[in-house]
Amino acid sequence: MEDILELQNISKKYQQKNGETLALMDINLNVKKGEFVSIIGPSGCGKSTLLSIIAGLEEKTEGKIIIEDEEINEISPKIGYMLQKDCLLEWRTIFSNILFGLEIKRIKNAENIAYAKNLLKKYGLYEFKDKFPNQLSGGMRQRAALIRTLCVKPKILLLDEAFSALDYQTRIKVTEDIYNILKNEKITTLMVTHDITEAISMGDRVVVLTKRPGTVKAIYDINFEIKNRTPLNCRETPIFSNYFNILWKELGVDE
Amino acid sequence: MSEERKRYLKKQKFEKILVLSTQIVILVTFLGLWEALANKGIIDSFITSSPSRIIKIFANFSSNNLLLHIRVTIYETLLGFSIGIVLGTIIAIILWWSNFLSKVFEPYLVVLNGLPKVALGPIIIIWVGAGTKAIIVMAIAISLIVTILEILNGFLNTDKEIIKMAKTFNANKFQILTKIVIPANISTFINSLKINIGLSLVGVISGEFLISKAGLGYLITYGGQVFKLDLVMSSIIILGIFAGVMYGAVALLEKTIINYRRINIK
Ligand SMILES: Nc1ncnc2c1ncn2[C@@H]1O[C@H](COP(=O)(O)OP(=O)(O)O)[C@@H](O)[C@H]1O
Ligand SMILES: [Mg+2]
Repeated sequence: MEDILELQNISKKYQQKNGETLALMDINLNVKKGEFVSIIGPSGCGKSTLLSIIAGLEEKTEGKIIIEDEEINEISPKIGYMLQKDCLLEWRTIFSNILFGLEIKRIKNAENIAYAKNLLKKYGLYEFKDKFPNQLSGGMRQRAALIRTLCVKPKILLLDEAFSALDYQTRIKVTEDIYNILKNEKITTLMVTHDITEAISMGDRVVVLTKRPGTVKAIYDINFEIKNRTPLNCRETPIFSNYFNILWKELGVDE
Repeated sequence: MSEERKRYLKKQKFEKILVLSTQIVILVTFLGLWEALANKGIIDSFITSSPSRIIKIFANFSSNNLLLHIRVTIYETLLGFSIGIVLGTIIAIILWWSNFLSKVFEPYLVVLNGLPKVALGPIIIIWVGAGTKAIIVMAIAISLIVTILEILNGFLNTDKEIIKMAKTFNANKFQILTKIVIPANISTFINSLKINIGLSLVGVISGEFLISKAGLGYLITYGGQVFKLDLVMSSIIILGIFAGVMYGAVALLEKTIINYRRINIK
Protein backbone atom coordinates (compact mmCIF):
# COMPACT_ATOMS: atom_id res chain seq x y z
CA MET A 1 0.00 0.00 0.00
CA GLU A 2 1.10 3.55 -0.62
CA ASP A 3 2.55 5.83 2.00
CA ILE A 4 0.19 8.54 3.17
CA LEU A 5 2.68 10.21 5.49
CA GLU A 6 6.44 10.53 5.25
CA LEU A 7 8.67 12.06 7.86
CA GLN A 8 12.14 12.85 6.55
CA ASN A 9 15.00 13.80 8.84
CA ILE A 10 12.84 15.68 11.31
CA SER A 11 14.80 17.53 13.99
CA LYS A 12 13.58 19.92 16.60
CA LYS A 13 15.54 22.27 18.79
CA TYR A 14 13.71 24.36 21.38
CA GLN A 15 15.21 27.75 22.08
CA GLN A 16 14.89 29.02 25.61
CA LYS A 17 16.38 31.79 27.71
CA ASN A 18 18.86 29.48 29.38
CA GLY A 19 19.91 27.47 26.34
CA GLU A 20 18.69 25.09 23.71
CA THR A 21 17.03 21.71 24.01
CA LEU A 22 17.46 19.23 21.21
CA ALA A 23 14.17 17.36 21.50
CA LEU A 24 14.17 15.34 18.29
CA MET A 25 17.03 14.28 16.05
CA ASP A 26 16.72 12.97 12.52
CA ILE A 27 13.39 11.18 12.69
CA ASN A 28 12.50 9.12 9.63
CA LEU A 29 9.21 7.29 9.36
CA ASN A 30 6.80 6.25 6.62
CA VAL A 31 3.19 5.49 7.42
CA LYS A 32 0.94 3.57 5.06
CA LYS A 33 -2.63 4.39 4.31
CA GLY A 34 -4.98 2.92 6.91
CA GLU A 35 -2.12 1.84 9.12
CA PHE A 36 -2.11 2.20 12.90
CA VAL A 37 1.35 3.14 14.15
CA SER A 38 2.13 3.29 17.86
CA ILE A 39 5.05 5.35 19.12
CA ILE A 40 6.60 4.61 22.48
CA GLY A 41 9.59 6.10 24.21
CA PRO A 42 10.75 7.33 27.58
CA SER A 43 9.09 10.36 29.07
CA GLY A 44 10.48 13.61 27.70
CA CYS A 45 11.95 12.03 24.56
CA GLY A 46 9.95 14.27 22.26
CA LYS A 47 6.83 12.24 21.47
CA SER A 48 4.42 15.13 21.96
CA THR A 49 6.80 17.41 20.12
CA LEU A 50 6.77 15.08 17.13
CA LEU A 51 2.97 15.04 16.94
CA SER A 52 2.79 18.81 17.36
CA ILE A 53 5.20 19.22 14.46
CA ILE A 54 3.18 16.91 12.24
CA ALA A 55 0.02 18.79 13.23
CA GLY A 56 1.69 22.07 12.28
CA LEU A 57 1.38 23.53 15.77
CA GLU A 58 5.12 23.58 16.33
CA GLU A 59 7.80 24.51 13.83
CA LYS A 60 10.41 21.94 12.96
CA THR A 61 14.04 22.90 12.91
CA GLU A 62 14.93 20.58 10.05
CA GLY A 63 13.33 17.99 7.84
CA LYS A 64 10.33 17.45 5.63
CA ILE A 65 6.77 16.30 6.21
CA ILE A 66 5.04 14.85 3.20
CA ILE A 67 1.35 13.98 3.15
CA GLU A 68 0.01 12.28 0.03
CA ASP A 69 3.06 13.36 -1.95
CA GLU A 70 2.72 16.97 -0.91
CA GLU A 71 5.13 18.71 1.39
CA ILE A 72 3.32 20.53 4.19
CA ASN A 73 4.65 23.33 6.37
CA GLU A 74 1.59 24.45 8.28
CA ILE A 75 -1.62 23.16 9.80
CA SER A 76 -3.06 20.70 7.32
CA PRO A 77 -6.77 19.98 7.00
CA LYS A 78 -5.85 16.36 6.40
CA ILE A 79 -4.71 15.96 9.99
CA GLY A 80 -6.77 15.51 13.12
CA TYR A 81 -5.16 15.76 16.53
CA MET A 82 -6.51 14.42 19.79
CA LEU A 83 -4.88 15.47 23.03
CA GLN A 84 -4.58 13.73 26.36
CA LYS A 85 -7.40 15.77 27.83
CA ASP A 86 -10.69 15.65 25.98
CA CYS A 87 -10.81 19.46 25.98
CA LEU A 88 -14.59 19.54 25.72
CA LEU A 89 -15.96 23.02 26.36
CA GLU A 90 -17.97 22.75 29.55
CA TRP A 91 -20.36 25.54 28.53
CA ARG A 92 -21.46 23.82 25.34
CA THR A 93 -23.68 20.80 24.87
CA ILE A 94 -22.11 17.65 23.46
CA PHE A 95 -23.61 18.36 20.07
CA SER A 96 -22.33 21.91 20.05
CA ASN A 97 -18.93 20.65 21.18
CA ILE A 98 -18.84 18.17 18.35
CA LEU A 99 -19.59 20.89 15.82
CA PHE A 100 -16.77 23.05 17.22
CA GLY A 101 -14.21 22.11 14.58
CA LEU A 102 -16.70 22.68 11.75
CA GLU A 103 -17.57 26.02 13.27
CA ILE A 104 -13.93 27.09 13.50
CA LYS A 105 -13.24 26.00 9.95
CA ARG A 106 -16.44 27.75 8.84
CA ILE A 107 -17.81 24.62 7.20
CA LYS A 108 -20.81 24.08 9.47
CA ASN A 109 -23.21 23.38 6.63
CA ALA A 110 -26.21 21.05 6.46
CA GLU A 111 -24.19 18.25 4.93
CA ASN A 112 -21.51 18.29 7.60
CA ILE A 113 -24.05 18.62 10.40
CA ALA A 114 -25.81 15.55 9.06
CA TYR A 115 -22.46 13.77 8.97
CA ALA A 116 -21.84 14.74 12.61
CA LYS A 117 -25.27 13.49 13.66
CA ASN A 118 -24.61 10.27 11.85
CA LEU A 119 -21.32 9.78 13.70
CA LEU A 120 -23.10 10.44 17.01
CA LYS A 121 -25.71 7.83 16.17
CA LYS A 122 -23.18 5.31 14.93
CA TYR A 123 -21.07 5.57 18.05
CA GLY A 124 -23.78 5.70 20.67
CA LEU A 125 -23.76 9.34 21.72
CA TYR A 126 -26.83 10.60 19.92
CA GLU A 127 -29.11 10.40 22.93
CA PHE A 128 -26.56 12.43 24.90
CA LYS A 129 -26.21 15.16 22.34
CA ASP A 130 -28.05 17.77 24.39
CA LYS A 131 -26.25 16.93 27.63
CA PHE A 132 -23.32 18.89 28.94
CA PRO A 133 -19.84 17.35 29.17
CA ASN A 134 -19.95 17.14 32.97
CA GLN A 135 -22.96 14.83 32.68
CA LEU A 136 -20.95 12.24 30.71
CA SER A 137 -18.52 9.57 31.85
CA GLY A 138 -14.81 9.88 31.05
CA GLY A 139 -15.07 7.27 28.32
CA MET A 140 -18.03 8.97 26.68
CA ARG A 141 -16.27 12.33 26.83
CA GLN A 142 -13.26 10.86 25.05
CA ARG A 143 -15.49 9.38 22.38
CA ALA A 144 -17.14 12.79 21.95
CA ALA A 145 -13.71 14.37 21.55
CA LEU A 146 -12.87 11.81 18.86
CA ILE A 147 -16.11 12.48 17.01
CA ARG A 148 -15.36 16.22 17.16
CA THR A 149 -12.08 15.47 15.39
CA LEU A 150 -13.65 13.06 12.89
CA CYS A 151 -16.32 15.61 11.89
CA VAL A 152 -13.77 17.59 9.92
CA LYS A 153 -12.88 14.40 8.02
CA PRO A 154 -9.15 14.09 8.62
CA LYS A 155 -7.18 11.44 6.78
CA ILE A 156 -4.57 11.05 9.47
CA LEU A 157 -5.29 11.07 13.16
CA LEU A 158 -2.70 11.89 15.81
CA LEU A 159 -3.38 10.60 19.32
CA ASP A 160 -1.22 11.93 22.15
CA GLU A 161 -1.64 9.71 25.20
CA ALA A 162 -5.32 10.15 24.55
CA PHE A 163 -6.37 7.52 27.09
CA SER A 164 -3.89 8.03 29.88
CA ALA A 165 -6.19 10.27 31.91
CA LEU A 166 -8.78 7.51 32.18
CA ASP A 167 -8.93 4.85 34.87
CA TYR A 168 -7.90 1.33 33.86
CA GLN A 169 -11.34 -0.19 33.26
CA THR A 170 -12.52 2.76 31.21
CA ARG A 171 -9.27 2.84 29.31
CA ILE A 172 -9.61 -0.74 28.11
CA LYS A 173 -13.17 -0.07 27.04
CA VAL A 174 -12.39 3.25 25.32
CA THR A 175 -9.38 1.77 23.55
CA GLU A 176 -11.67 -0.90 22.15
CA ASP A 177 -14.30 1.64 21.08
CA ILE A 178 -11.89 4.03 19.50
CA TYR A 179 -9.93 1.34 17.72
CA ASN A 180 -13.12 0.07 16.14
CA ILE A 181 -14.22 3.54 15.15
CA LEU A 182 -10.89 4.28 13.52
CA LYS A 183 -10.75 1.00 11.61
CA ASN A 184 -14.36 1.50 10.58
CA GLU A 185 -13.69 4.98 9.26
CA LYS A 186 -10.38 3.79 7.73
CA ILE A 187 -8.35 6.51 9.38
CA THR A 188 -4.59 6.30 9.40
CA THR A 189 -3.45 6.75 12.98
CA LEU A 190 -0.27 7.75 14.72
CA MET A 191 -0.56 7.15 18.44
CA VAL A 192 1.87 8.19 21.12
CA THR A 193 1.68 6.32 24.40
CA HIS A 194 3.85 5.33 27.32
CA ASP A 195 1.82 2.17 27.82
CA ILE A 196 3.51 -0.74 26.00
CA THR A 197 0.39 -2.92 26.14
CA GLU A 198 -1.68 -0.19 24.55
CA ALA A 199 0.93 0.25 21.82
CA ILE A 200 0.95 -3.47 21.00
CA SER A 201 -2.77 -4.07 21.25
CA MET A 202 -3.65 -1.27 18.83
CA GLY A 203 -0.64 -0.89 16.57
CA ASP A 204 0.16 -2.53 13.24
CA ARG A 205 3.66 -1.31 13.97
CA VAL A 206 5.35 -0.03 17.08
CA VAL A 207 8.05 2.62 16.79
CA VAL A 208 10.47 2.84 19.71
CA LEU A 209 12.17 6.16 20.30
CA THR A 210 15.40 6.67 22.23
CA LYS A 211 15.54 9.00 25.18
CA ARG A 212 16.08 12.67 24.40
CA PRO A 213 17.03 13.66 21.77
CA GLY A 214 14.46 11.26 20.35
CA THR A 215 15.46 9.24 17.33
CA VAL A 216 13.93 6.07 15.94
CA LYS A 217 15.57 3.23 17.77
CA ALA A 218 13.60 0.32 16.40
CA ILE A 219 10.40 -0.45 14.53
CA TYR A 220 8.47 -3.67 15.14
CA ASP A 221 5.76 -5.13 12.96
CA ILE A 222 2.95 -6.45 15.09
CA ASN A 223 1.06 -9.35 13.65
CA PHE A 224 -1.36 -11.41 15.67
CA GLU A 225 -2.79 -13.38 12.75
CA ILE A 226 -6.27 -13.45 14.26
CA LYS A 227 -9.48 -12.89 12.37
CA ASN A 228 -11.26 -10.30 14.42
CA ARG A 229 -8.45 -8.10 15.52
CA THR A 230 -9.42 -5.77 18.34
CA PRO A 231 -7.19 -4.59 21.18
CA LEU A 232 -8.88 -6.88 23.67
CA ASN A 233 -8.60 -9.96 21.44
CA CYS A 234 -4.92 -9.22 20.95
CA ARG A 235 -4.34 -9.04 24.65
CA GLU A 236 -5.67 -12.58 24.98
CA THR A 237 -3.29 -14.16 22.46
CA PRO A 238 -0.18 -15.99 23.70
CA ILE A 239 2.20 -13.95 21.53
CA PHE A 240 1.10 -10.75 23.20
CA SER A 241 3.53 -11.27 26.03
CA ASN A 242 6.32 -12.03 23.56
CA TYR A 243 5.87 -8.62 22.00
CA PHE A 244 5.62 -7.11 25.44
CA ASN A 245 8.93 -8.61 26.55
CA ILE A 246 10.74 -7.51 23.41
CA LEU A 247 9.52 -3.94 23.68
CA TRP A 248 10.06 -3.84 27.42
CA LYS A 249 13.71 -4.71 26.86
CA GLU A 250 13.98 -2.28 23.98
CA LEU A 251 12.71 0.53 26.18
CA GLY A 252 14.64 -0.53 29.24
CA VAL A 253 18.15 -0.63 27.78
CA ASP A 254 18.36 3.12 28.01
CA GLU A 255 17.76 3.26 31.74
CA MET B 1 -37.87 10.22 49.09
CA SER B 2 -36.01 8.20 51.69
CA GLU B 3 -36.21 8.94 55.39
CA GLU B 4 -32.54 9.80 55.41
CA ARG B 5 -32.91 12.30 52.61
CA LYS B 6 -35.91 13.87 54.37
CA ARG B 7 -33.90 14.25 57.54
CA TYR B 8 -31.02 15.76 55.61
CA LEU B 9 -33.22 18.32 53.89
CA LYS B 10 -34.93 19.17 57.14
CA LYS B 11 -31.57 19.79 58.78
CA GLN B 12 -30.46 21.98 55.89
CA LYS B 13 -33.62 24.03 56.13
CA PHE B 14 -33.31 24.32 59.87
CA GLU B 15 -29.75 25.61 59.56
CA LYS B 16 -30.77 28.18 57.00
CA ILE B 17 -33.56 29.47 59.24
CA LEU B 18 -31.21 29.54 62.21
CA VAL B 19 -28.63 31.65 60.37
CA LEU B 20 -31.24 34.06 59.07
CA SER B 21 -32.97 34.51 62.41
CA THR B 22 -29.65 35.07 64.18
CA GLN B 23 -28.82 37.74 61.63
CA ILE B 24 -32.16 39.44 62.27
CA VAL B 25 -31.73 39.20 66.04
CA ILE B 26 -28.31 40.87 65.82
CA LEU B 27 -29.68 43.72 63.71
CA VAL B 28 -32.73 44.29 65.89
CA THR B 29 -30.69 44.14 69.10
CA PHE B 30 -28.20 46.61 67.71
CA LEU B 31 -30.86 49.07 66.60
CA GLY B 32 -32.85 48.59 69.83
CA LEU B 33 -29.81 49.17 72.03
CA TRP B 34 -28.81 52.20 70.01
CA GLU B 35 -32.27 53.71 70.31
CA ALA B 36 -32.65 52.86 73.99
CA LEU B 37 -29.22 54.18 75.00
CA ALA B 38 -29.83 57.38 73.07
CA ASN B 39 -33.28 57.73 74.56
CA LYS B 40 -32.04 57.30 78.12
CA GLY B 41 -29.25 59.78 77.43
CA ILE B 42 -26.53 57.25 78.15
CA ILE B 43 -25.02 58.06 74.75
CA ASP B 44 -25.26 61.53 73.27
CA SER B 45 -27.59 61.29 70.26
CA PHE B 46 -26.23 64.61 69.07
CA ILE B 47 -23.00 62.78 68.28
CA THR B 48 -24.23 59.23 67.67
CA SER B 49 -27.64 60.00 66.18
CA SER B 50 -30.31 57.34 66.74
CA PRO B 51 -32.60 55.12 64.66
CA SER B 52 -35.61 57.33 65.28
CA ARG B 53 -33.73 60.44 64.22
CA ILE B 54 -32.58 58.68 61.07
CA ILE B 55 -36.13 57.64 60.27
CA LYS B 56 -37.13 61.27 60.67
CA ILE B 57 -34.56 62.25 58.06
CA PHE B 58 -35.97 59.67 55.69
CA ALA B 59 -39.50 60.90 56.36
CA ASN B 60 -38.52 64.48 55.54
CA PHE B 61 -36.80 63.51 52.31
CA SER B 62 -38.35 66.41 50.39
CA SER B 63 -37.17 69.17 52.71
CA ASN B 64 -33.55 67.97 52.84
CA ASN B 65 -33.27 67.18 49.15
CA LEU B 66 -32.32 63.60 50.01
CA LEU B 67 -33.69 62.16 46.77
CA LEU B 68 -31.64 64.55 44.67
CA HIS B 69 -28.44 63.54 46.41
CA ILE B 70 -29.27 59.85 46.13
CA ARG B 71 -29.99 60.26 42.46
CA VAL B 72 -26.69 62.06 41.84
CA THR B 73 -24.66 59.40 43.60
CA ILE B 74 -26.43 56.50 41.88
CA TYR B 75 -26.00 58.14 38.50
CA GLU B 76 -22.31 58.78 39.02
CA THR B 77 -21.66 55.32 40.43
CA LEU B 78 -23.48 53.45 37.67
CA LEU B 79 -21.75 55.48 35.00
CA GLY B 80 -18.30 55.13 36.54
CA PHE B 81 -18.93 51.42 37.14
CA SER B 82 -20.04 50.71 33.59
CA ILE B 83 -17.32 52.75 31.92
CA GLY B 84 -14.70 51.16 34.18
CA ILE B 85 -15.83 47.64 33.28
CA VAL B 86 -16.18 48.26 29.56
CA LEU B 87 -12.91 50.16 29.25
CA GLY B 88 -11.08 47.68 31.49
CA THR B 89 -12.33 44.74 29.46
CA ILE B 90 -11.35 46.36 26.18
CA ILE B 91 -7.85 47.17 27.44
CA ALA B 92 -7.47 43.66 28.88
CA ILE B 93 -8.43 42.21 25.49
CA ILE B 94 -5.85 44.40 23.74
CA LEU B 95 -3.14 43.39 26.20
CA TRP B 96 -4.10 39.71 25.87
CA TRP B 97 -3.94 40.05 22.12
CA SER B 98 -0.52 41.63 22.01
CA ASN B 99 2.20 39.97 23.99
CA PHE B 100 4.42 42.95 23.23
CA LEU B 101 2.02 45.53 24.64
CA SER B 102 1.33 43.50 27.77
CA LYS B 103 5.06 43.25 28.44
CA VAL B 104 5.51 46.98 27.82
CA PHE B 105 2.67 48.02 30.09
CA GLU B 106 3.19 45.54 32.90
CA PRO B 107 5.38 47.78 35.12
CA TYR B 108 3.10 50.77 34.55
CA LEU B 109 0.06 48.74 35.55
CA VAL B 110 1.79 47.49 38.68
CA VAL B 111 2.80 51.00 39.76
CA LEU B 112 -0.61 52.50 38.94
CA ASN B 113 -2.28 49.69 40.81
CA GLY B 114 -0.31 50.51 43.95
CA LEU B 115 -0.86 54.25 43.66
CA PRO B 116 -3.63 55.63 45.90
CA LYS B 117 -5.87 57.03 43.18
CA VAL B 118 -7.47 59.56 45.55
CA ALA B 119 -4.16 61.43 45.32
CA LEU B 120 -5.05 62.17 41.71
CA GLY B 121 -8.18 64.03 42.83
CA PRO B 122 -6.87 67.61 42.56
CA ILE B 123 -5.31 66.94 39.16
CA ILE B 124 -8.53 65.42 37.87
CA ILE B 125 -10.48 68.44 39.08
CA ILE B 126 -8.10 70.83 37.35
CA TRP B 127 -8.21 68.86 34.13
CA VAL B 128 -11.92 68.11 33.77
CA GLY B 129 -13.46 70.73 36.07
CA ALA B 130 -14.99 70.49 39.52
CA GLY B 131 -18.18 68.71 38.53
CA THR B 132 -19.86 65.42 37.83
CA LYS B 133 -17.29 64.61 35.18
CA ALA B 134 -14.43 64.72 37.68
CA ILE B 135 -16.31 62.43 40.04
CA ILE B 136 -16.96 59.87 37.32
CA VAL B 137 -13.32 60.03 36.23
CA MET B 138 -12.35 59.42 39.82
CA ALA B 139 -14.56 56.33 39.98
CA ILE B 140 -13.05 55.04 36.76
CA ALA B 141 -9.50 55.79 37.95
CA ILE B 142 -10.05 53.67 41.02
CA SER B 143 -11.68 50.68 39.34
CA LEU B 144 -9.97 50.58 35.95
CA ILE B 145 -6.53 49.17 36.76
CA VAL B 146 -7.90 46.44 39.00
CA THR B 147 -10.38 45.48 36.29
CA ILE B 148 -7.63 45.28 33.67
CA LEU B 149 -5.37 43.19 35.88
CA GLU B 150 -8.14 40.85 37.02
CA ILE B 151 -9.52 40.19 33.55
CA LEU B 152 -6.11 39.95 31.88
CA ASN B 153 -4.99 37.48 34.52
CA GLY B 154 -8.07 35.35 33.90
CA PHE B 155 -7.54 35.48 30.14
CA LEU B 156 -3.89 34.49 30.41
CA ASN B 157 -4.75 31.56 32.66
CA THR B 158 -7.21 30.02 30.22
CA ASP B 159 -6.53 26.29 29.86
CA LYS B 160 -3.62 26.00 27.39
CA GLU B 161 -4.72 22.54 26.26
CA ILE B 162 -8.12 23.85 25.21
CA ILE B 163 -6.48 26.62 23.23
CA LYS B 164 -4.22 24.02 21.64
CA MET B 165 -7.29 21.96 20.75
CA ALA B 166 -8.80 24.98 18.98
CA LYS B 167 -5.53 25.54 17.15
CA THR B 168 -5.60 21.99 15.81
CA PHE B 169 -8.68 23.14 13.88
CA ASN B 170 -6.66 26.10 12.65
CA ALA B 171 -8.52 28.61 14.82
CA ASN B 172 -7.39 32.21 14.44
CA LYS B 173 -6.76 34.54 17.35
CA PHE B 174 -10.17 36.18 17.12
CA GLN B 175 -11.89 32.79 17.26
CA ILE B 176 -9.78 31.75 20.23
CA LEU B 177 -10.80 34.97 21.96
CA THR B 178 -14.51 34.78 21.28
CA LYS B 179 -15.07 31.03 21.38
CA ILE B 180 -12.68 29.99 24.13
CA VAL B 181 -11.13 32.75 26.20
CA ILE B 182 -14.18 34.93 26.83
CA PRO B 183 -16.68 32.13 27.54
CA ALA B 184 -14.11 30.40 29.76
CA ASN B 185 -13.76 33.59 31.81
CA ILE B 186 -17.35 34.46 32.61
CA SER B 187 -16.66 33.86 36.31
CA THR B 188 -13.63 36.17 36.17
CA PHE B 189 -15.89 38.79 34.68
CA ILE B 190 -18.54 38.38 37.36
CA ASN B 191 -15.86 38.66 40.04
CA SER B 192 -14.66 41.88 38.47
CA LEU B 193 -18.18 43.24 38.55
CA LYS B 194 -18.46 42.41 42.24
CA ILE B 195 -15.15 44.04 43.11
CA ASN B 196 -15.98 47.10 41.02
CA ILE B 197 -19.17 47.88 42.89
CA GLY B 198 -17.16 48.73 45.99
CA LEU B 199 -14.38 50.44 44.08
CA SER B 200 -16.56 52.75 42.03
CA LEU B 201 -18.48 53.71 45.17
CA VAL B 202 -15.17 54.62 46.84
CA GLY B 203 -14.31 56.71 43.79
CA VAL B 204 -17.64 58.50 43.70
CA ILE B 205 -17.81 59.25 47.41
CA SER B 206 -14.23 60.51 47.62
CA GLY B 207 -14.90 62.58 44.49
CA GLU B 208 -17.95 64.06 46.14
CA PHE B 209 -15.93 64.77 49.29
CA LEU B 210 -13.48 66.79 47.20
CA ILE B 211 -15.93 68.59 44.97
CA SER B 212 -18.71 69.04 47.51
CA LYS B 213 -21.61 70.05 45.30
CA ALA B 214 -24.11 67.23 45.50
CA GLY B 215 -24.48 63.55 46.26
CA LEU B 216 -24.33 61.41 49.37
CA GLY B 217 -20.60 62.09 49.72
CA TYR B 218 -21.34 65.77 49.80
CA LEU B 219 -24.13 65.19 52.32
CA ILE B 220 -21.72 63.31 54.57
CA THR B 221 -19.08 66.08 54.51
CA TYR B 222 -21.71 68.74 54.96
CA GLY B 223 -23.39 66.86 57.80
CA GLY B 224 -20.02 66.42 59.49
CA GLN B 225 -19.16 70.07 59.23
CA VAL B 226 -22.44 71.36 60.66
CA PHE B 227 -22.71 68.52 63.19
CA LYS B 228 -25.84 67.03 61.66
CA LEU B 229 -24.87 63.46 62.46
CA ASP B 230 -28.37 62.26 61.58
CA LEU B 231 -27.68 63.26 58.00
CA VAL B 232 -24.32 61.52 58.01
CA MET B 233 -25.74 58.29 59.40
CA SER B 234 -28.67 58.32 56.99
CA SER B 235 -26.34 58.79 54.04
CA ILE B 236 -24.17 55.90 55.15
CA ILE B 237 -27.19 53.65 55.53
CA ILE B 238 -28.40 54.57 52.05
CA LEU B 239 -24.93 53.81 50.66
CA GLY B 240 -25.05 50.43 52.34
CA ILE B 241 -28.44 49.66 50.83
CA PHE B 242 -27.28 50.83 47.40
CA ALA B 243 -24.16 48.65 47.51
CA GLY B 244 -26.32 45.71 48.61
CA VAL B 245 -28.76 46.22 45.76
CA MET B 246 -25.95 46.43 43.20
CA TYR B 247 -24.37 43.31 44.60
CA GLY B 248 -27.74 41.58 44.40
CA ALA B 249 -28.09 42.62 40.77
CA VAL B 250 -24.71 41.13 39.91
CA ALA B 251 -25.55 37.95 41.83
CA LEU B 252 -28.79 37.72 39.85
CA LEU B 253 -26.85 38.14 36.61
CA GLU B 254 -24.50 35.37 37.70
CA LYS B 255 -27.40 33.06 38.50
CA THR B 256 -29.01 33.78 35.17
CA ILE B 257 -25.82 32.91 33.32
CA ILE B 258 -25.33 29.73 35.32
CA ASN B 259 -28.89 28.70 34.64
CA TYR B 260 -28.45 29.55 31.02
CA ARG B 261 -25.44 27.31 30.75
CA ARG B 262 -26.94 24.87 33.26
CA ILE B 263 -23.55 24.29 34.79
CA ASN B 264 -21.46 25.72 37.51
CA ILE B 265 -18.97 28.20 36.14
CA LYS B 266 -16.71 28.26 39.15
N1 LIG C 1 7.73 24.62 24.39
C1 LIG C 1 8.89 24.05 24.80
N2 LIG C 1 9.98 24.81 25.05
C2 LIG C 1 11.13 24.24 25.45
N3 LIG C 1 11.30 22.93 25.67
C3 LIG C 1 10.26 22.12 25.44
C4 LIG C 1 8.99 22.63 25.02
N4 LIG C 1 8.14 21.59 24.90
C5 LIG C 1 8.85 20.49 25.22
N5 LIG C 1 10.11 20.80 25.56
C6 LIG C 1 11.17 19.85 25.94
O1 LIG C 1 11.36 18.95 24.88
C7 LIG C 1 11.50 17.63 25.37
C8 LIG C 1 10.46 16.74 24.76
O2 LIG C 1 9.18 17.06 25.27
P1 LIG C 1 7.86 16.27 24.90
O3 LIG C 1 7.74 16.25 23.42
O4 LIG C 1 6.73 16.86 25.63
O5 LIG C 1 8.19 14.81 25.43
P2 LIG C 1 7.23 13.55 25.63
O6 LIG C 1 5.91 13.87 25.05
O7 LIG C 1 7.92 12.43 24.94
O8 LIG C 1 7.17 13.28 27.10
C9 LIG C 1 11.41 17.72 26.87
O9 LIG C 1 12.71 17.71 27.39
C10 LIG C 1 10.75 19.04 27.13
O10 LIG C 1 11.22 19.59 28.33
MG1 LIG D 1 3.99 14.03 25.96
